[in-house]
Amino acid sequence: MRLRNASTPSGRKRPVTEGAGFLLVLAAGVVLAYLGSGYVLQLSGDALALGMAAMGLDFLMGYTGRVSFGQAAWLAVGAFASGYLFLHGWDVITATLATIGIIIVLSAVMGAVATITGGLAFAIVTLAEGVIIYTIINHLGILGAGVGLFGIPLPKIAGQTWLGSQRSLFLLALVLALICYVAVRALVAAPAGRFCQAIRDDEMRARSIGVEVQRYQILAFVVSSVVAGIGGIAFVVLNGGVQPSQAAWDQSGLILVMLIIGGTRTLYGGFIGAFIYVFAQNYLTQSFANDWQIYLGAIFVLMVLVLPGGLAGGVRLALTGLGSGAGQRLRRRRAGGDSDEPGIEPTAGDRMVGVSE
Amino acid sequence: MTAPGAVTSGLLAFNLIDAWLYGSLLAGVAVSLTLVFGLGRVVNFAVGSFYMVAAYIAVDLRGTLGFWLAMVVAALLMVVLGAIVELVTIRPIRRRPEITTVLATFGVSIVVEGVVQQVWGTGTRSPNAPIGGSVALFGQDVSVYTFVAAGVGMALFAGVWLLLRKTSLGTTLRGASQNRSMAQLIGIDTATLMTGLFAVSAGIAGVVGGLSGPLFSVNPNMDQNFLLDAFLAVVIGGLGSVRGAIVGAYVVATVENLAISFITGDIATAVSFGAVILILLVRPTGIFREGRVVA
Repeated sequence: MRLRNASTPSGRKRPVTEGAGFLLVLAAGVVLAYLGSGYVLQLSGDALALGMAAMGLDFLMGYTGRVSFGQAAWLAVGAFASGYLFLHGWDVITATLATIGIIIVLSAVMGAVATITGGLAFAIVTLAEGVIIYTIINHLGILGAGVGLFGIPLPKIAGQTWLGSQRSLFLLALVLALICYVAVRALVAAPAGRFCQAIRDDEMRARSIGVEVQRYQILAFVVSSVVAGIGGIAFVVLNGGVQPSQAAWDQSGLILVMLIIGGTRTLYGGFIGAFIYVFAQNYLTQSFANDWQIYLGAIFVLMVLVLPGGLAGGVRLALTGLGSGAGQRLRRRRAGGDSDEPGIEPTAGDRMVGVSE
Repeated sequence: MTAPGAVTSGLLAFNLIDAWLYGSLLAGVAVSLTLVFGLGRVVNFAVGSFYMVAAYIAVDLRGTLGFWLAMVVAALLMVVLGAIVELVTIRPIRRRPEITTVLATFGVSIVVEGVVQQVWGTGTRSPNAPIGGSVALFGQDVSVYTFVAAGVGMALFAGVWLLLRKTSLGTTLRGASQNRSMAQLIGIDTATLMTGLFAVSAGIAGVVGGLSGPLFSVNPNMDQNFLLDAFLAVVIGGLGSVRGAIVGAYVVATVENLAISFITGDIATAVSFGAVILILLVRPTGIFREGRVVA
């Protein structure tokens, strides 16, 4: 059952909702670009940048089965590296390529360390690595020594400043997000992506059929970090600067929250979560003041417990519920362990417990 | 603390005493985390929250109850809170993979942090030590309370160790950890065991939180570093390994304090975490090579 799912990642069962979700995001983006005010575009751009980080995390978590608590650090690496290059007159394309190169090298090393042991260690080690990155960014003189980078000039392409208005900056972020989406979507369907899903579904089985587990986990971590870093490039361009706090642990936690609320295993769920978070934070904080964090946490817990597929999964559930056989599928899901659940799977680890003293 | 190169042997010794203190406080919590993990593969990412809330409650109750009783009451309240958290967020997802428990308890920690800011504000409190006086050691003054707190910390993990090795409950616990379905088959209520263990681990974090108030400051961010240090100890000790968790706690505390001795400023954090993580390269299954590797 699970293996079948792994070999048909975007499956016969749900191409409609996935394609629809993608088009919906695209349409919403274009409509926003032409109707939204400067402030709305600013928020939407931020949401796209954070959404990219969440999408990267989705590939790592939803498709490879590893949870990272350091995702914001990679967004920050992208923002600081590209911001530094922009300040030194680099062009958008060269700066982006150089930034991606830096992230690939860094994340491959850190990913290799984080994947040495199992899933829990991965969560802890990525958290610690995020703290290390934050501390270094906060410390380095060339990155603003704790103040961050600011006054970053408008991005240039081939020596020309093409992008002047808020709208064009938003469109740049949208284009980057769409490129990342299409690339990761292709990766999910490619052999490498299927190996990742095989690892998620049953690590021991994947190992026994010859999948080099650690290698694909490192790959997933690098992909996740690069996508977050590209989000960071969008972030620094949109905001004209970046602060070290962007790399802090709470930010990583927030990205995880956005992904869970939006829905894992969709790639677009992270964007939904990011938009909801950014707009709710800016428009609801006045009415809720300090309660805000409590509600956010409560919604998050509720999602984890009741709706592991997040909002996207909920919508999908409602849509398939209208079709035939929905009741059957639901019952299987309730029974637990069915791989239809778009969250994380029970693993062979269920049977591998032990305390030694 | 001081400029590099100015590390005196006295300062070094002082920092090693600090390491012993912090390690003793971490060890009890690390042991309880590794036990909770071993029994039900449950990861308690809210452990820092219990630690923090207990620290605040202990400060609040100190005026009426006195320091030690306030600490005990705060810890008992954490036992109750721990049981509630387990029943509400852990038990319903028992059949889902272990990483789901990370998410659920992480969500709890977000809620708790919000509540703490609501109830106690965002300011920092620095309560006085309940025991005055200090001892001159290596040219530095070390407060008597440091030794008392470290002693209580060591008593905590020693108590857990004895419970595990010498009581029938400990035997049940170890058995259930080794083979859960077999334990259920012979009539052991592993679900209740889990709730109890989770509650006790929250209580231990509560005691440590109450003790920590006078040592470190009490603020709404105190949960984060504590959580990270405790879990780093568990991971480098080897998941599920009790003696590994104890040694891991002292290793984490020592590395962090040595880094502060030799490196100026916040970069010491990066160096010490890096060093701790590198231990995994040498011993992926923990210091005693008995942790779990798969999943």
